Amino acid sequence: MTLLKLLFRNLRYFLKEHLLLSAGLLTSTAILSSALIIGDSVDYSLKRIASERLGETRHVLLAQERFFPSTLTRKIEKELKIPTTAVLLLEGTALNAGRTATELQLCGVDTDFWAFGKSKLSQPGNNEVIINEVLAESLNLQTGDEFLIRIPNPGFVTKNSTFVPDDENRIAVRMKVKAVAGPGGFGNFSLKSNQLTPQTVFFSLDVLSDLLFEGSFANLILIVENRYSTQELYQALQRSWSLEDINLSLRKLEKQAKTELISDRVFIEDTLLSILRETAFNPEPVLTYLVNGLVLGNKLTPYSFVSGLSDFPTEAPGAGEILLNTWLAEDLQAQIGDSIELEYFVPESFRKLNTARASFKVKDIIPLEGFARDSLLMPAFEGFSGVESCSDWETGIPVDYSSIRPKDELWWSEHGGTPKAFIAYETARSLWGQEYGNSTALRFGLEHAPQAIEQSILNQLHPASMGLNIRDVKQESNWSASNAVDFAQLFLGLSFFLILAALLLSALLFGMLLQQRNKEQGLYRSLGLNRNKIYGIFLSEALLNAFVSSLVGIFAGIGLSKLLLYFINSIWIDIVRTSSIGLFVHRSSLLTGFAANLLVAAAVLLILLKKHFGAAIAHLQKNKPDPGLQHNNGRAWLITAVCSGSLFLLLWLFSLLKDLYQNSLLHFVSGFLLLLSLNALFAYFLIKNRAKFFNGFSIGQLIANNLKYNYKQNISIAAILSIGLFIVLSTGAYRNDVGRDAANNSSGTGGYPFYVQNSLPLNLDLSSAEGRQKLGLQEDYPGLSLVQMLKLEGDDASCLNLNRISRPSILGVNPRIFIDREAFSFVKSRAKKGLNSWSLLSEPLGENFVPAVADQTVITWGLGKAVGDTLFYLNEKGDSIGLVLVAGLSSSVFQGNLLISEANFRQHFPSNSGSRIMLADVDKSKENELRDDLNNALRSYGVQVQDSARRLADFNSVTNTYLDIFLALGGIALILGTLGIAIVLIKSITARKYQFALMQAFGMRMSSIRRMLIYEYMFLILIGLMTGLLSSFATSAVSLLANPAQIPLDTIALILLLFLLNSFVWIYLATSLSLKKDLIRDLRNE
Amino acid sequence: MKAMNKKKNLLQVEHLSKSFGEQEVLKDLSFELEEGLSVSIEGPSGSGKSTFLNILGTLDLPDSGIVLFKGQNLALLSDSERSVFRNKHIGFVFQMHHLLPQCTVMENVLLPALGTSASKTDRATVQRAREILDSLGMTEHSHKFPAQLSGGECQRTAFARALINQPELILADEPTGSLDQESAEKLGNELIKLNRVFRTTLIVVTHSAALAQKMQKRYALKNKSLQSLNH
Repeated sequence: MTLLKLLFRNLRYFLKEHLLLSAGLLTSTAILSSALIIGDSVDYSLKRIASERLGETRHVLLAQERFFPSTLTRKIEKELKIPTTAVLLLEGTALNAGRTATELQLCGVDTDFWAFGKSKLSQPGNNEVIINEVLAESLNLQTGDEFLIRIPNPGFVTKNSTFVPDDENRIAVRMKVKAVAGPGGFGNFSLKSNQLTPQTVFFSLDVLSDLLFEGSFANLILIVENRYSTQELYQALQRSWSLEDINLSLRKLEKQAKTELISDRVFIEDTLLSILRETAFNPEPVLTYLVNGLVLGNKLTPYSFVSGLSDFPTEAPGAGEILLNTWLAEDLQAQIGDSIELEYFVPESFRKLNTARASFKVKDIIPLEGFARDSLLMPAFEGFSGVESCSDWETGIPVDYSSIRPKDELWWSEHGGTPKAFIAYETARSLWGQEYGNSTALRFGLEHAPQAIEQSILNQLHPASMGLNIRDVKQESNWSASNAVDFAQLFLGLSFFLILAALLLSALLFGMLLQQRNKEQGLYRSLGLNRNKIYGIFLSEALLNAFVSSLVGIFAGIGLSKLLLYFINSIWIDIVRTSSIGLFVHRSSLLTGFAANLLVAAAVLLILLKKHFGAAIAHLQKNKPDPGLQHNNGRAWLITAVCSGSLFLLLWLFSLLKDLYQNSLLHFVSGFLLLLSLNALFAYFLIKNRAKFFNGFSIGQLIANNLKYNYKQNISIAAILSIGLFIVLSTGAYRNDVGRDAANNSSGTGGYPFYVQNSLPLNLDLSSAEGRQKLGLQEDYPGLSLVQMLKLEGDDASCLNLNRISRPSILGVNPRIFIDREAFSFVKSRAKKGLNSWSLLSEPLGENFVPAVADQTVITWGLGKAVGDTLFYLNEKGDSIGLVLVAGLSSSVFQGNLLISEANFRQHFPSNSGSRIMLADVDKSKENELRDDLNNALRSYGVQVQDSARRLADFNSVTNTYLDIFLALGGIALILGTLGIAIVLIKSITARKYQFALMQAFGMRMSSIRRMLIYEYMFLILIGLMTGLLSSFATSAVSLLANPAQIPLDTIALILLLFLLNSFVWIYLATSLSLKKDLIRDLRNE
Repeated sequence: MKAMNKKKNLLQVEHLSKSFGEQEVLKDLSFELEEGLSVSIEGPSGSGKSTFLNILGTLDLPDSGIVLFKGQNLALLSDSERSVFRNKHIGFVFQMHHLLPQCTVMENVLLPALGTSASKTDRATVQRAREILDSLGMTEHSHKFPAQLSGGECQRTAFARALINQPELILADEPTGSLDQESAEKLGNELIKLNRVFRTTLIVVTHSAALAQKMQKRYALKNKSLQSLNH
């Protein structure tokens, strides 16, 4: 006989007990490991998705609201000597057999593109496209099918420009599917940091470009993996680009003896003027604008171009002065010194035109010659340029053709858009200047060679200031994926209480095993075995069990992870929104799970063992309890209860004072403290339970004695149950039914029943009857309110995106509408008391700093920021602007976006045109009608009319799914708890069978004994229930009382009922099975 | 035996037989016992002493024969009636005291009083428990737990527990078996004292001749039947 042999004999003899202990330890390891594996899997999957969507791309050159010739890519390639490829990236919609795909990514790609994704696909032909799997599934398309694609016609000139025609800004083409590209075929290409693959159509670049432009244009260049810094790439771009790449051209005007710089975008960016003003080229800016009318008394000359010049051969007009050509002077019968009025349109958002007036004093009347006869002063306004007759004008402004006289037609046929009047450039700029440019031409003296001017521009101009941004997308995506939602942490948090419950159960089982082996321990000691040796035997058994359990546990953890991932990819898909999260097991996670559990388990077992070994030898040998128990006054428990209770109160008050009662971490920490306090208090009362003056004995007292005798076991059971119940009830308390108050203006919907998104920008002002009519909406909607918003595309920072986002989409809103409506509510705000937080959006914060708001959840979780923090963006001019978070919205339909004022949006992103987001409200009785109407009217814009409450519910589904997981884990903890009760009950009955036999011998009926046991354990259940209930309510009290309607009383009642029933069944079964009818036989046999 | 008929019989056993499988333990055993007597039953291990005691205490049933308690045939009682019967009429003392470790001496003594229907003991029962404990010299230990008592004290508590319901018959199975000689002697005397003070009929199964000699009548269980040792 060796100690090792004895060890194995013991293990074999107590196999059942060791297996039970092992089950507890295995459960905790499995849960711990699976949490880490889930974390690894999500992390790995996000990185894989990021790699699939970018392929070999490292950097991109992305043009903001502009297009460059696709030949730029060859120039850069030549400069860098690394592969690059041009892409024309747009957003459109597609239709097939009644199905519509919105927010469709349209990519015009070159042959080189496919090599970036190591794809074997070949370029689609003229009438062909390649689509990705997501789109194929969405539209039910297969190779060879034909379908309709709607493409926006962006043009070079921003749609915000007053004179750009607003119709036909989209075209429809029917294309044949050449192939369906999967992830391996670069079908998942996307620049957005999101685990969701956008629906994509790949055109040949030339085909898509030909549909929209004359020539091949692109707005994106992919640059392959390289060692260049962004700065070096900008420098390379500056070395290789030409004026045409930024839509500029220089032309020599022989007649005028000038060199002129003009832009395909009509308006020339101010940056250029600023740069050139620093040089010796002495640019002369020109700003020509169409005025609706020039009025003198009752005389009116309609629709004439007026130029603002900085250089006049004659005496220049000052501010408030105007030069008229003779034709105009004659038409108006104007004299020098007369005051004439100019009437013109000033554009606002969504092509809303306000009429403005300005008065000028006629400084001079100039002959129709020289600069006054320069028809080239009129820029190439689309709809005017090259048009022979006024009646053929196709312009974005409403033209009153009836006011156009034959003499006006005659002027047009002879002189075209030659300006009829001239004012100072600075005056023109102040009247008609646009955020996207304040000149329609820059002119230079012929002494300056065009090449020199071009070189000077190209050398000094930073590409970003012309909207050409180079981004290290690989690094960005790696950062986003690496800083994504930490599922390991999340699942560890969610599983914490379950792990605790499993460890408690293990401790309980080990304690019982030790108790069962008291005699054995006493025997070893009486036989003279060294105390350390005996300790060694028991310790070896415990550690061996913990080691094997932890080892097997990690494999169980892999299995559990597979199961959890199956659920995550199916019924819990709301938290990841993709079914592509695959299992990935990192060795270090397995090792961590194994080591952490082994350590904790060993520590727990060691503590139990050490305490147990403190018992006197005589007591052990007789299997008597340590009489020390009778002297235990429970002070330690009382101290624990008071300390943890006080900590709970402090934390509770802190969360109340700091408005942190919605913080789930605080909730669970304070919940843990209260659970500890209440359970310790229960322990204290169990121990203190003793009648001081003996007045009799009762069944109740007997039950109390029984509970006290095994108080550690009983506390463990109550604690496990209270933990499980706490989780389940807290889950119920946090579950949010967003539909409940969706109609309120203060809710997350703002009281707007519809959230409308269109893939193609809508350049109509729907607040005006004219705009609505133009769109084709009915006119008679009572209570109609349509709030249009501008949108700058960015990443989705909502909880639907797992990646950490640094550049979310920006919405431009009119805060006044929300202030008047008292719409939405804020969780945090820097607004002074009494001031509506929306008004903060209009407050000036200094140059290049813009106030912004977002959902508080987006600020905290999506961005990892807080109110007061700043996010930096590059505006259209290439300047860095800081968006200062001034307030956090309570959960709203805007989740995922930053909101700034429309005015700030237009200032920094002036070329961004058309509304993409809209909130719609109408009288309740007309809601369905409006929904249908919007769907029909905006069909060609790729509209999605979403119920706001539904959208909010979608966001909430993420939270609710986490709560589902938590609920499931809480349920497992409850099962563990009731299982623990069943095991303890069976063990306890076995250990106490002589007691029961004796009671039977004394005449106690078996039914009475059974009833006594059921009462005893149901009391524990009730204690667990009360503790869990109290902890859950106390920790959620503030948030629940703030909104009592939110308390799901029915759910809670159902949970409690199920819990009690489940517990009763277990107890009844365990009691019935263990309490044999003939207990007396044991007594007889003795 | 006939000489004892002058007094009222508490127990009357007729033609009692009991086997465990193939093994016959008791065969055609007859026995009568007057109220208030103290009786010892001796015999070697495995002779059937405990089986006989269990049948008398309705913890076991005979294969054949009848046991009359004050003329009532115990075999005709149902399971629950037997429980009531035990609670009311019988007090048990076992070799192992089987005290509930979670209860004090007083609570252990009062345990049978909770018996079949009462959920709380009355004042009279508590008073009686005090008197019994007092008579056994256990008053000072009444609030102690079994773990705090000696073996003898535990067994005395078990006696007190057997007496609490004022049974007419106490069945003691090797009551001194787990005690040292001195304690056993002391406990034997107390048993006799209790028998006299409370006028309770006492049947003691024992190996101990010293204890047996203290009883008014001695029997030996030999060849599956009882033989009187009183000559």
